[in-house]
Amino acid sequence: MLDEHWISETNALLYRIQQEDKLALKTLYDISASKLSNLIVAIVKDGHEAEDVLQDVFLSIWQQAKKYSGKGSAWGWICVLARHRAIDLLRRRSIRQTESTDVSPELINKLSEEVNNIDTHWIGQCLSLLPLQTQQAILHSYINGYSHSELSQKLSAPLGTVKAWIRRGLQELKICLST
Amino acid sequence: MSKYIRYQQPKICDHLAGQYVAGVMTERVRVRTESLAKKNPMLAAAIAYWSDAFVELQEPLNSSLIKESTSDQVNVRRVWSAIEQRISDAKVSKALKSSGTRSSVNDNEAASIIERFINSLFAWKIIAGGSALASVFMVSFLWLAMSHPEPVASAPSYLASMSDHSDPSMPPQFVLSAYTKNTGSPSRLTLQWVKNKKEKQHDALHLWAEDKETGELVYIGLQSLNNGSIELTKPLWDAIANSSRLLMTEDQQQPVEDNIVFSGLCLQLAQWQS
Repeated sequence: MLDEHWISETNALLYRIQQEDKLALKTLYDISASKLSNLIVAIVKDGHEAEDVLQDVFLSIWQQAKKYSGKGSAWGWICVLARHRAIDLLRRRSIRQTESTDVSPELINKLSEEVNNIDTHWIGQCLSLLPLQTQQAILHSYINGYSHSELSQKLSAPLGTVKAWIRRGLQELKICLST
Repeated sequence: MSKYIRYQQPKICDHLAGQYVAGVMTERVRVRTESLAKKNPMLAAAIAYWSDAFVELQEPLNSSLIKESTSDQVNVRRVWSAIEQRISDAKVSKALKSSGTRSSVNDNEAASIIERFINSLFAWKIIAGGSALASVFMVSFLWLAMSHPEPVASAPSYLASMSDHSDPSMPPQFVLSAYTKNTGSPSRLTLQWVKNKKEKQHDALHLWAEDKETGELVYIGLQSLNNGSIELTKPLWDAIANSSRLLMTEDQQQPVEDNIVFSGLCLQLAQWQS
């Protein structure tokens, strides 16, 4: 589970950013830029492009902080914003970078093992209960930012099958997380 | 079934939210989902749920796996300089745009006044023209000064976002900020509502600071809930500086679970400001 202090800190900082407090934006940047960089690089696979996305993410936080409604944690909202910005850049590229730079498949497998081994990561535990292909489809989409059709190519499975894996996988995750 | 009614179903909301957060949606579908979520609180709540659930997966990513290969790829200091530059450019461009519009109006008015004045009082044209121009500059200066007030100089040293104590999972209701004294005012604690204050249940509550080492509770004072502030003496300032969290009670009795109305972790911000 995420540290309660971290959640409170990022919530408080985002509320201050909503009041246009630039110091709060700087503080948020100082404590989270490195985490967000890891997330963005995992998707765009290029340091320079990741810098552009990181810049874009913080400008969006500054300009759109009021869009955060207070539902869920501010950190969750920021991470989704960052992932979507990175995915947008990736999909605007005509050709996705070669497979060798992907966080997969070995790393995805390693991640599966790692989340299984950490007691506190409850989504990891639930993920480990899913069939391997479903697990990989969800992790590839979350970590590498793959769309349904890209997953279909990547996992050599028909588009309909991949959609069904994800749909059923998310349903099972929800059930597992709520028990 | 109407497509709008369809999106009111928990299963559909959950399905959409899961796919939205997992990242499999195309940009077009994602934008459509965001627009639906603005009107559909059930969908917005489901997105928040999945966002928080998936964010857990990033921790192992940060801790060991990708970090090694990516940490050198992003120069965070350079990126921050670019962000600062773009924020300041946007501010300057906004200010120039609005002052440009305003001064062209002033210039037209001024030109007309000057023209009439010179026609009727030719002998005084130099003095009159000078005065009118001075007036235009004065009006422009006053307008700029009034429309761009000096920012509040001080930033809080401590901050606590206060949530309903009976349900800490709810978003904070208001923020308590402790400001150190400056030339104009003493050290003080202020309250700011995060959203519009709802139904008035209390006009004021008693504020306590819980010592982070001993757990001792120090009474700070009666805090108005109408955006008022408390002046902090040195002992009260120290109590806040040494606290792990702030608590608010209905009465002046020592806080116990039953009489605490709001609580929040007290965070030190001073060290970040340096």
